[in-house]
Amino acid sequence: MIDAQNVGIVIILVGMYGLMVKKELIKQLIAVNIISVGLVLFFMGLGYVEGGGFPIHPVDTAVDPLPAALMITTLVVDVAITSLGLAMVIRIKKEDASSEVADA
Amino acid sequence: MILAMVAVALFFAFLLTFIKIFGEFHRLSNILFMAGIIIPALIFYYHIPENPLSLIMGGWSRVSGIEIALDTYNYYLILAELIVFSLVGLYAINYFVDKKRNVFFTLMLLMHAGLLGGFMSRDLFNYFVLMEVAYVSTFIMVGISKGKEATKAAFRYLIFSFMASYLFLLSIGIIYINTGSLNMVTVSENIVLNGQTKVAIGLAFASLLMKAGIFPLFFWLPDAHSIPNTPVSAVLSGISLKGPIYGMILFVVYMPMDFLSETLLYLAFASVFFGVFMGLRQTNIKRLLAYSTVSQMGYVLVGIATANVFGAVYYGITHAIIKSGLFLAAGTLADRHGTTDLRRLTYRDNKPILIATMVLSLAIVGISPTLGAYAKKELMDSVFGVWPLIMTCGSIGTMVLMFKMNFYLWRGKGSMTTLIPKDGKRFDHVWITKSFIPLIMAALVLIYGYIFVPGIYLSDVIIISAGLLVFIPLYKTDLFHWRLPKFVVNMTCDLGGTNNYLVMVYAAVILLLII
Repeated sequence: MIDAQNVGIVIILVGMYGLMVKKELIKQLIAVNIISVGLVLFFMGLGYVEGGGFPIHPVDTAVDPLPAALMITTLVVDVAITSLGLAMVIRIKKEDASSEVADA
Repeated sequence: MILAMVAVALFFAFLLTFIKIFGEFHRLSNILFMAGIIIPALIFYYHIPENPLSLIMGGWSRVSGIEIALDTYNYYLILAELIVFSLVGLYAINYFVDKKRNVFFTLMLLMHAGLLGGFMSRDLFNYFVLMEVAYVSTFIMVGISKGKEATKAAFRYLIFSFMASYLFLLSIGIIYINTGSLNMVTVSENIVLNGQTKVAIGLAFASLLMKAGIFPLFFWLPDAHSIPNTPVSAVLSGISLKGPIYGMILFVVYMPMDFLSETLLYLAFASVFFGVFMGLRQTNIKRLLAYSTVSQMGYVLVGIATANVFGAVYYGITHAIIKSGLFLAAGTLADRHGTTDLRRLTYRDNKPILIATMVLSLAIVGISPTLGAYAKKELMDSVFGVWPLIMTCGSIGTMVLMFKMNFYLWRGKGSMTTLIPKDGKRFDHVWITKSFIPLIMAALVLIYGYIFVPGIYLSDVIIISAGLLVFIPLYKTDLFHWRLPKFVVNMTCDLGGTNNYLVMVYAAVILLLII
């Protein structure tokens, strides 16, 4: 059955696969980001209610707002750690380049 | 209001970055940094009579609010956190003298806030977020440390910690579908053990094991704990590893997880022996201590696996104080002699460090009358059958490791030229503070041991002599310096390529725990 939770878990597994086969550091960081996208989709699927409306002043049924609130926090953590990781990748490349020059 | 502890630490972290705009104020940043550590301790002291305390933020009902609590499960963890941070903070203001000091102080306060908040929370998502606050600051602290490999160590730490966090979050999601709540009390009321919740608990444990550095998910730990500056190593190995332990305690207390206990017990003892085994072949003193941490975290996991929560907590806090003291002592020696090579270090010229290292070495093995003996006895009470014997073997292994460290430090070969520092001043106040803080930690371990341990156990003599009996032949035959097979060394050269294999190991552990 195709619903958001199952697709989310498949995307998480794609991210794990990327981490297992890609050697480049930047691709590993992207793979972790793919895991995070899958996770967001999974949580969005959790809160979804068939035919549900906005959770503000609900008329009859509304979607569950909690997963969306959690995911906003997670996205913030995600952006912060990704930028930190990218900075580290740049620094590792620079250090490697300078050590190669020193060797030659 | 107990949550003010976290707010105060965050506020002083903000102030420290703020004053940096106006210039370098050494004394002011020292005061702000120590205030960010001491004021939460005072707030905690003020709240001790209210123990046990349970509070839901904003006055909401338990279903919709975030719950924080102070009770016997986390009281000692918070106490140990405050003790370790206060003493390491005193060390740090004498250690950091260059321009990066404000950065380190800010990050240490952020980590302080994250750990305090994490230890108090009874809500899975709140725990997750506050632990991330603590972890992000540790990635940066490892990354900006001196040394060639620092950034690589930090990158590996970041990738694996990040991935483990996301899988932990996935398990929180699955628990949320099944119970409709994130609060631990409501979760424990509503949880039913079925296929989905088993997968969730297994995933959560795989992530927490990674963050706690248990074999076979230890691989980021030796680098990340041995490369940073001395105070950072001390707080990382001392108290930041207890964060995931608190997560495990939440799971053990509030969720049915008997189905995992046998697997966890095997992993725990594998970790105990692997840590000792790898530690014995290290010549870098900080790496030796880092591998000893892997071994000690195995003991804490024994408490978790046998659902002996108090054993795990007592062992955890004992290890926090001992290991941060040992890291500070080793780091002081290493900075003074300009090397981390165990064979070129000595503590013979520094009596406070000599006493501190010896007492803490005995305490980590669990020799009475130190606090370590009490913690180890608490753990021993919960294991049956052949396991107590295996645990004693683990203690003998730790004893051999500590014999090795103390033997080389006592012999102190090749370091006599560096005994007197260049400026000729031996007994300035920096030297005194740096040398006496490990001694204070050793004194704490002895005083608490005197209070808690009823007497001297005669069986400790057997452990010490057995350790000596194993150590002497190993030293005579030079087995400490055997090398890893060449293909393993080649494999670990490439950072990205090694990560691939390590993710496979992680996936295997997840499968082991969820099937």
